[in-house]
This record gives sequence, structure tokens and C-alpha cells, in this order.
Amino acid sequence: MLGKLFKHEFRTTGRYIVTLLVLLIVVTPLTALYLKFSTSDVIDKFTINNFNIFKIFSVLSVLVYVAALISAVTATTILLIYNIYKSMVTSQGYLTHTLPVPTSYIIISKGVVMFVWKVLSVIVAFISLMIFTYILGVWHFDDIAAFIKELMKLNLSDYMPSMILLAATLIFGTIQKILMYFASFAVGHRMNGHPFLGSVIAYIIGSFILSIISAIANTITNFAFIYTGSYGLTDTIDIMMIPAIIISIVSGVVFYIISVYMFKNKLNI
Amino acid sequence: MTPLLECRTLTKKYGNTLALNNVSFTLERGRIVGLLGPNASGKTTLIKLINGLLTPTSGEVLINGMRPGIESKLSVAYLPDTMFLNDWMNVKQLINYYSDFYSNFDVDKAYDMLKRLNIDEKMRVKAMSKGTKEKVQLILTMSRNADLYCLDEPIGGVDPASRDYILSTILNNYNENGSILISTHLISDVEQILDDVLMIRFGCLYIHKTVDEIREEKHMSVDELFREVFRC
Repeated sequence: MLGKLFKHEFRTTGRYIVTLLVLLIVVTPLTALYLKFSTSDVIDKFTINNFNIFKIFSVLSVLVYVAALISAVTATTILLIYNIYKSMVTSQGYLTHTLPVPTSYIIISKGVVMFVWKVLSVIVAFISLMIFTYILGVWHFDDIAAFIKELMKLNLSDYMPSMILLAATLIFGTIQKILMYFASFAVGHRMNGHPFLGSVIAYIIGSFILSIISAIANTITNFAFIYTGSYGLTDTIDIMMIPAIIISIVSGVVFYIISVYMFKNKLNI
Repeated sequence: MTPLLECRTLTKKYGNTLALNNVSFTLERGRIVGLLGPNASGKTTLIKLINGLLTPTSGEVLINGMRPGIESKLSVAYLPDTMFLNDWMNVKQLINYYSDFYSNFDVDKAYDMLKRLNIDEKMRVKAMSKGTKEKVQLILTMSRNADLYCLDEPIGGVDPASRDYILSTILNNYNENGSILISTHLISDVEQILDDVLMIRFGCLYIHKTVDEIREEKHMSVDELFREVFRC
């Protein structure tokens, strides 16, 4: 059943997410090429009374690209959140919640699919940015070779713990955020007649509580530093990431339990 | 034998508003039951409670002796009073969706009903008229071999000619070992198919009798009784 939920969830969300990502990939070379063309010397020939239509459109091309880049990452998240809201709390929830599957499966399938799309959108945005800057001549393939050469000179095992901690911070942080959306809808939908408003309020309260917990954890970590002696900058960042990872894991588990409990035992749609 | 559906002192409040008040009844197999009442009497609330979409304030609902859960969701086929399908999907995708999740979904029966209604399987929900959407929803619900069919206002939004088709679809396609709970205030249209009547008034169960008992005891049709009970 979980496999079927994954299949249908990917199909439902994939329609607009893939469209946004494809749009970004198409827009990237077009806008970059136009920008390169409009800033070249050739274009100066078309200047009449200090007015050059091509240069004006170059600003527009940057705006189009930035909009496509932002929408690939931000709009993807917004659309995915809206999909959760629509399928769990509105009339589409009548079908979602009457499927003969455990509530945990519904949350896991939607959560995993959202995670995959979020990661993919960030990867596509990064690739797009690389293509855009490459076309504009910001970097060349030789630079990559030189960068790898420099990287090979370093003892990578020294940086491995930091890399792992950074990856864990990003992964668990993203998972925690996704589970927080579910928990917000699970709690907020019970606000009679105002499920969306209730969910927003629940999200704000959840964020506030998390901020306080993070601030306390960071203060404790900083004090621990002072008492245990001075460390290098890398160590400092590493140690700062540990409480962040722990908070993400613990709060993620709490949000998951709240979501499953509320949607299973306190549903009101 | 365990009743198909049992409601025990079921109460549901929305804030301070009492939607259902202490409702208790049992429903046996093989019955077509009219859930009757004026607007805002608590019909939809009761159906949602049976389907686990609402949590009772107090009391409980038992389907085949069990509280709403995975097993009950397989044995109850629910038709809401509103559009609940993904509007980007076409009919074929919806049928695949239902057959993926409901092991008791009869794909052949669904296609047969679609064919008789001349509904194109490639048609997207978004492109359908309101009536066609309702028919597709009904077809998906009635193609399941469920124990209990909960139909919330299935004829509320369609023209009188279509009502006859919908009622005959319901009658010809439900699992005869199961029961149908059909909510409506268009009583004259459904009266001829009903075995039992559950009448709800201000959230309370007013009458739970067979149609024959109502006719014998009250000397009036269900429609006449409804008009008398709920006269403004």
C-alpha cells in the first residue's frame, strides 16, 4: 500500500513540480545567452540617443531568470505545502482519510515525496545557476579541474566529520520542517471553520517554541565552549551543528507523533 | 450477530453548537435506509462520524463491531455531498486509483456504468459538468462491493431525469448483503426504494422505523410525515 501511495503522490505533485523545474532549465540558457548578447559590444551599434532597447530587455531577462530560480525552490515548497493542505484537510481529505491504509503511511508517503522534490529542486537550481554563470563567462571548465586539483591536495579525512555534520543538519532540518507542516495542519485543522488560519497559527507557535529551544541549546553549547577551552573555527561550527541536529531529530519525531495521533484520533474535516 | 452499524449515545459538538445529540441506533444488513432531516439537522455529521472523518464528542460508532479504522474503511463506501476527487485526473486514472486501494472495487462494473452513461474514460474531472462529476463519484462509490454504502445527498444536485438513473444505479449495483444509508431531503424521490427511515431533528434521532411501520401507524407516506414533522 505504501508503494501505491508513493506512486499516486509522485503523480499528483510531479505535474507542477516537473513543469517548474523544466521551465527553469529552459529559461536558464535563454536568459543567459540574451544577457551575454545584450552586454556585448555589438549591441552598442543599436544605441540611439543613449537609448538601447536591447539593454533594457537585459534587465528583464535577469528578472525572468531570478523569478524562475526562486519559483523552482520556493514555489515548489509552497505548492507542496498546499497539496498537503488540500489532500488532508479540505474535501479531498474525504478520499485521503477513507482509504484503507494506516494514517502513518499517508504521512510518510506525502513527507518522503515532498523531501525528494525539495532536494531535487535545490539540485536543479544549483545546476541552473552553474549553467547561467558559465554562459556569462564567470567560470570555465578549467576552473573545475583546478578546483578538484586543489581539493585533492587537502587531507579530506580532516573535513569529513564537518561534511557529515553539515549534511545531517540539512537533511534532518528539512525533514523536521516537513513534519512541522503536517503537525501544523493536524492541530490547526480543528479550529472550527478556519482550518487554514488554525494551521498558520499552529505553525507560528511551533516555530516560536523551536526558536526558544534552539536559543537555549546554543547558549548551553557556548557556555560549554568557554569552560572546556578554546577551539578552532571549524570545531566551533561543528559543535554548533550537533544541538541543531539533535533538536531536528527530536522535534521531527514529536511532530510525526502529533500528526499521526491527531489525524488518526482527532480528525475533524 | 454483530450489527453492521451501531451508534451508541453519539454526540457531536462544533464549539458550542450541538450537531448530534445522544443518537443511538443499529443498522442491520440488507437494508436501504433513508437518513432524513431538513438542512443542518445533523445528517452529514452522522455520515462523517461513521466514516471516521469526524471525532465524536462522546459516544461511539461501531462498524461490524469495530470503531472506524482501516477495516471499516474497506467495508464502508462513502459518497460525500461535495466534490472530493482530484480535478486533474481523468476517469481512467480515478478507476486505477480506486482499484489500487480498494480490493473490493469492481473495475468491470465501473466501466460498464460509464459506458451506459456515455462518459468518456479520458475525460478530466475539471472538464466535466457538475452533474457528470456527481455521476462519476457515484459510479466509483457503487463499484465497490462494500458492506455499507453511505451516500450523502446523491441526488441533491441533479435534474429529476437523472435522479431516476442515479436511484436505479444505486439499486442495481449495491452489494445485496450490505446496506445503504442514503441521506436526502428529497424524500418523494427516494421513498419507493427505502426499507427503513432514520429521521433526525435538531441533532436528535426522532424516528427509526421501517417504511411499512410508518404507513401503518401514522397512516401517511414518509414524505407526508416529513412535511408534518418539519413544518416551519
